[in-house]
Amino acid sequence: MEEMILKIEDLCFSFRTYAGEVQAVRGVELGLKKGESLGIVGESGCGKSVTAKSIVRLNPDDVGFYKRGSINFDGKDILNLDTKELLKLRAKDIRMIFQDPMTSLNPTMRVGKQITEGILNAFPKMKKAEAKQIALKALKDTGIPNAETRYEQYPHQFSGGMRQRAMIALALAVNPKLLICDEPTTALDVTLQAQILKLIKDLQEIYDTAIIFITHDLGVVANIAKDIAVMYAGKVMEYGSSNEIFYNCKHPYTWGVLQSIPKVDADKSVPLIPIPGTPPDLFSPPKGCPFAARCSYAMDVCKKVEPPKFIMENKHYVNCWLYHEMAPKTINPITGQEVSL
Amino acid sequence: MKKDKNKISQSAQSVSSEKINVTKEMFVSIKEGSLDAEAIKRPSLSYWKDAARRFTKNPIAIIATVLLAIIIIFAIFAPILSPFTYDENNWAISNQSPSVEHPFGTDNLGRDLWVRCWEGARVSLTIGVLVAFVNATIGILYGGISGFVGKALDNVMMRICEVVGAVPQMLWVTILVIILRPGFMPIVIALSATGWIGMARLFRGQVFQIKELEFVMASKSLGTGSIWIIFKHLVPNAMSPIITSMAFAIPGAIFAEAFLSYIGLGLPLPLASWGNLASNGANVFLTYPYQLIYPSLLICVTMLCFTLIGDALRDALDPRMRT
Amino acid sequence: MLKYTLKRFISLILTLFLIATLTFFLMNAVPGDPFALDRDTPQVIRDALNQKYGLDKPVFERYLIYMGNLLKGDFGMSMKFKGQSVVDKVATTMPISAMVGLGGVLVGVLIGVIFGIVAALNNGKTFDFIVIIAAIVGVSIPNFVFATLFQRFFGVTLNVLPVFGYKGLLYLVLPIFAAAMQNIAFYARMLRSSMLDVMNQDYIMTAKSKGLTRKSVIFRHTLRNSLLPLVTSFGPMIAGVLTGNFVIEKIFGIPGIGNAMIMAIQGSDYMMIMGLTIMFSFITVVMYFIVDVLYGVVDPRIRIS
Repeated sequence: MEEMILKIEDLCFSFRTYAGEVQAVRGVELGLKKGESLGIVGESGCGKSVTAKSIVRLNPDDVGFYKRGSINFDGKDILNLDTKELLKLRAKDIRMIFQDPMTSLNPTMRVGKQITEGILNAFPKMKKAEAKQIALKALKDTGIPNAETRYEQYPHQFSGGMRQRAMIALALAVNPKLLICDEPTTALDVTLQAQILKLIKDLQEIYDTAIIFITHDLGVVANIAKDIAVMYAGKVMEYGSSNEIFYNCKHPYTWGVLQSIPKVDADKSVPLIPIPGTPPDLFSPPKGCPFAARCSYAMDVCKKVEPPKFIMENKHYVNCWLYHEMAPKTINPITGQEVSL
Repeated sequence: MKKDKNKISQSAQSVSSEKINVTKEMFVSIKEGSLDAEAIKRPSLSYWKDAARRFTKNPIAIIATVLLAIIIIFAIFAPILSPFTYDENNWAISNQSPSVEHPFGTDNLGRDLWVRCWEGARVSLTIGVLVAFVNATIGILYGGISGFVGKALDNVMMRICEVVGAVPQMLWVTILVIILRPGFMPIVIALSATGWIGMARLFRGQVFQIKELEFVMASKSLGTGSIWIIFKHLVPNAMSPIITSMAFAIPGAIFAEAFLSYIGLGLPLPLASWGNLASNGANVFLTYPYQLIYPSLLICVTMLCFTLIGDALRDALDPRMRT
Repeated sequence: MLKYTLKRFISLILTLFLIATLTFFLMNAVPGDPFALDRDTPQVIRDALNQKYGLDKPVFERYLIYMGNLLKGDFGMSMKFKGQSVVDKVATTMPISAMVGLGGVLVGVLIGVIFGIVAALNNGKTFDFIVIIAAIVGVSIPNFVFATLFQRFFGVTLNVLPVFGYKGLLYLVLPIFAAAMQNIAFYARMLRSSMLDVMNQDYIMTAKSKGLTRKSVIFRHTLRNSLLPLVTSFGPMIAGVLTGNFVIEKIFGIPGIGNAMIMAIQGSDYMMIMGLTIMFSFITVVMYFIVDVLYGVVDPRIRIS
């Protein structure tokens, strides 16, 4: 049985604002094994990015604070790590890539130097020449042609897709144990999206890195994630393997998301059904299930009490009252069958 | 070693949520009418109303405006209410330190400095506001015409701007005041004649931006006269940087007037302006400091108020910061 | 690059010509007869001046003579102080003005930048608030107020520094600081907002995610990008350095070019006023030109366009 490399338990993270506390993450539980990939899917503002940054404590520490919970990585208690250890962790073990390749690279520093900087930071005793070789190899691995020339260039001389590749090279050059991708394809057009996704998948196998892939687009994670967590309003609504989520999902929110995605082979006469309404304000989060206000299956209990976790076989779980024994019979719109655990 | 802020103690466990008993009755479907999860619909305000709202919500702006209002009120009423006039010589009481009778003291000719300071306020503020308005007017007309007509005319007009602007403004002003002889109107004319360049460039830039927008094209095709187009459509849109510029131009004019006084081209005595009061005060600063302190204080406070108001205006009128 | 420089150079010459013309005609518009010589001027000198400057001829001829002299480098002579030419005056006074001006800029930039950076790094804390307030207030206080305050405080009360005249470099300390005050306020504000802007950028997040220490992030990434806007502000600032600061020179009695101008104005020495004005403008315009060309060197985008 493989060890869990990352274990997040009951993570609660909030921001202090002039008007009060905004609860961005409200009790998230996630786990990841070595070399595996996890997708976190949710709409804007659901807390997926904050969750990811929490793993390496990259949220602003003057206005953000951990209310509760624990994050365990490779045996280390992240939230109680001292600064020196934390920086070492960020340098070597856990790396991130971000959404906008245009602004994620320092415009006044050569690309090669930015990569080498990361390598030397992770391995302080390494010689500069050796670090440069590693950086060049990383550039080549991400499919950037003429790596030697590109090494000396500035970010504005790269195209958008190449910049994202450079970001990936920067992150993977030190062979981290975990790579967190925060919406890396959102700012790219569809063809580039596909390329970058394939690249990340291929590199994952070569480097044997665990991956957390964050996106609002369920379609994007289909190929790349082994497990998927669906987040809404700071909580995980449903969690399961990729297959389970796509073909046997249980939560009304996930149903809504799947129904609103255009499919290549869908009948053109069947309309896309968007989910009405907008997410709740996290200043004063609703008492019960956060999705209740927009859910067509909502019951009285949903508005009053938070649903507990209902765990099925093969670690698929869902937080929804529909799976309580006292709930009325309902039809799962995706599978057409009766709702059951 | 510094204590890490993010250390949370292991003992901080979950807060127990109130245990509500879940009963069968609660599993009743409810209509999804309550989509009140989302935003309270705020009434959408017009641009100017929104800007005004943002300005008035800024505490610094309010304080600065109130201070300025106080100064203006004093400028209007203090000389009227005082028993002394600004040019009343009385050698017997010359160079007296501040007292109840003379709150700001007296100068070397025995004139009451309180009255002179507030008379000076009238003069300096008037100069400032006048110059700002004239600069804005000339600037809008010049920049508007240059920007709207474009091409060759624009080239020539901008060249002129460059040449006039290449020389430090104070130099032109100095020469103009020498020619016209120091006085209230000459100073206003000199400052107005040279300070419009910034506004003209600013407005011309705005004109270029807006010229490209479609609604202006549409308006043109309907046959409305060209000057009218400029005024009706462009002025409201381009007004915000102009207004902000004006707020900053007023202290600039006040300072320029003070500068002229220092080099001997200020208002001739016995007229009082903050500039010549400060200049005279500086000459005797080491013996009678109060003669410089009060006019300088007034200048500084006024300039500060205008700067803060200008800053606040800039933020309030910025369309990108619309809430 | 050469084409760019040539274009700017032609522009420069044109501007100089127009300024000289404008100034000449403005000066000749002064009521009364500004260029009339004192009644007690000896005839011999009168003749010499008339010959050189055509003072007895109509305006337009005088203009041509004047422009011709300009090309030869003769900016005119003082009418009041016999025998002193404008060029001489400038040569003796400009270095001093330049020292004060340059000193004011250097001190202002140095101190302002440091304060701005430290304020940004302590955003929201007390030091930050102090700097913001000091900067706004500093910009609102005219430099003559600072000048006189310094005179009183450092010269009289503490009696540590000389406050008037110029008998050595020590005499320049207070004038330089008085000139620097507004620069300090300006640059502190600029650097602070520049730093805060940069610190919010995505690439700073990337740098942090690489595990760099706070110090490394600041020095290797934040600072360099924050200093960029500084460079663009240098142009106008440098151009003003040489022309000196009238008021500061008057208050501290520094015999600089600004002081020369004031003396000329107060003495109604119109030839000198005209000559100095044109000289001032020429220097300013030439400085702008040099700065423009330097921009072209520093910023490759301009070179290529």
